[in-house]
Amino acid sequence: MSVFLDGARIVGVHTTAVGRSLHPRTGFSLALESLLGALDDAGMTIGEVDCVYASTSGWPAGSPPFPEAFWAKQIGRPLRWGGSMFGIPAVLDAAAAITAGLIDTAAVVVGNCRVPDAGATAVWTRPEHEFTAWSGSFTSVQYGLAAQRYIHEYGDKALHAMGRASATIRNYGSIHPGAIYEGRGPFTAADVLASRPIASPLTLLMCSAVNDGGHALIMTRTDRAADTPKAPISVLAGANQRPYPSYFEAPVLDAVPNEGAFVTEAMRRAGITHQDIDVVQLYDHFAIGVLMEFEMYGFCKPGEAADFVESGVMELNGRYPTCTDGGLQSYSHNGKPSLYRVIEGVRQLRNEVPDRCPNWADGEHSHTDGVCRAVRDARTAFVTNPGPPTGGGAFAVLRRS
Amino acid sequence: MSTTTAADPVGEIPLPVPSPRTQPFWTAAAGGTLVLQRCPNDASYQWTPQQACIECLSEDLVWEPVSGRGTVYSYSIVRRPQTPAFGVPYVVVIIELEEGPRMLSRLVDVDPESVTIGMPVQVSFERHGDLALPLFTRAEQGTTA
Repeated sequence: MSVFLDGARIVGVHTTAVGRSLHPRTGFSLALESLLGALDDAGMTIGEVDCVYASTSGWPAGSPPFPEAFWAKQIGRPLRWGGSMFGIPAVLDAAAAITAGLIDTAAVVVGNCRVPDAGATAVWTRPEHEFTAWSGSFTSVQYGLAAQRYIHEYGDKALHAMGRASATIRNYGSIHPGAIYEGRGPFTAADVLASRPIASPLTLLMCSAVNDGGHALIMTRTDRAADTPKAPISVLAGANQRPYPSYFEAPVLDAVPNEGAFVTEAMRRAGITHQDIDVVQLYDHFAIGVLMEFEMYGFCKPGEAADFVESGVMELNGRYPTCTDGGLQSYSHNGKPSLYRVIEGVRQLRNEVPDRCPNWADGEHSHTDGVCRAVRDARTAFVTNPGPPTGGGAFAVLRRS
Repeated sequence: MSTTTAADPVGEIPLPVPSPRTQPFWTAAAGGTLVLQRCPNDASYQWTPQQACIECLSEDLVWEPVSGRGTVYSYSIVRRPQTPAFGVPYVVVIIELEEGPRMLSRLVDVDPESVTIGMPVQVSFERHGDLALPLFTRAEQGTTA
């Protein structure tokens, strides 16, 4: 087994409190709290950061052409790398730049906070494209279209499996302190299917939450990581494939031939297989995405995801406990949620998972369904980010060093 | 090809803003004709509109009229609209055009619960001022749209 980007380790993570509205806080405020919190987690200071990848909403840092320049001014220190990438692509880029010796320490920072009365659907889901917007196809509809076709091709059992996937994810979120849906549930597949219809066949409980929040992650050189307080986390493998523009094109299931090849190749080069994976953090924006990702990332074959999910693999004591923080559907979708998947992977590998076990803070877990979220002896995590609705995405395999 | 006038419940839906490169599409639509770009080198149709052929990268794409007929590849009945201008329920569809490309659109004048994958459809332009949107409706049996 080789380590893909062996010169770098993840050493610090932070998530802010999440809420339906955190106004009058701002995207910048949430990002700043996250940056300082992740540095504190790493036992490092802001003076060591020489690279920032930032994605924040609103004034003054929202989407400038060079966000690293804003952060350089704010921090008062020149930055040598970084930009507007976020999520797993930013983690992979930072790991590569550190391994190459271009930088020493990178921060990946996200903060998103909506203005009050932002509307019925999340602002980030509304298309403005000339050939899309008038169809009324906002993001939930894109996945409804994919889900309807998936059911047509693979049978009605796929709809029930979507309900099962969302119920499983939401039952983790229900016992995750501070999650948007904490205390809501437990849910069954039938509960999910019976919830309010949004864009058929998707119901409310098959869709992401809509909320505010921030998060950050710190990576540094492997030699520096040896002198940090928490178990350093390696990136064993990773890749990013975005085969067509999201939401402008019709989400057809056969858009990408042999779409899983980028995963297979990266795993092979790292000398690992799916058998090495202990915990999975899929990008669960919509229930259909969970089924399609299991197939695309090679956990099962095309068309087999319904049976795979119904066999219970996603449960805490199943083969691949999945979205153990409650995912985007129950824990948090703050509009820019890509790093949550990575951070939950890191926390599982560190055995640092808040749940309803009395001594979770000391790493003591019962591994009992409905009480505990911690995966027993988790050493290797598979984490993902979205591509367009029906093909591609980004993934990384993380390992406790 | 039929033409209908929209009745929008609250305000106006988001309408396209044609660019010089896409104006031929909207001009043809306003005249009741669906056009797609086609590559003179390899005859491939393009959708969504491109600047260069997705097969051979030629920039010499030509707008050509197409049949306006197709079948439903997938659909979603929307009950939670992005803006109130879309009266609910409405049906978003992916149409597989006879010429090959799959096009995102909306079905009109159809009972949402009666929509099925594979259902034959034809284009039905919906007027919004000077613009006409290429929506679709159930194909009339035996017609040549």
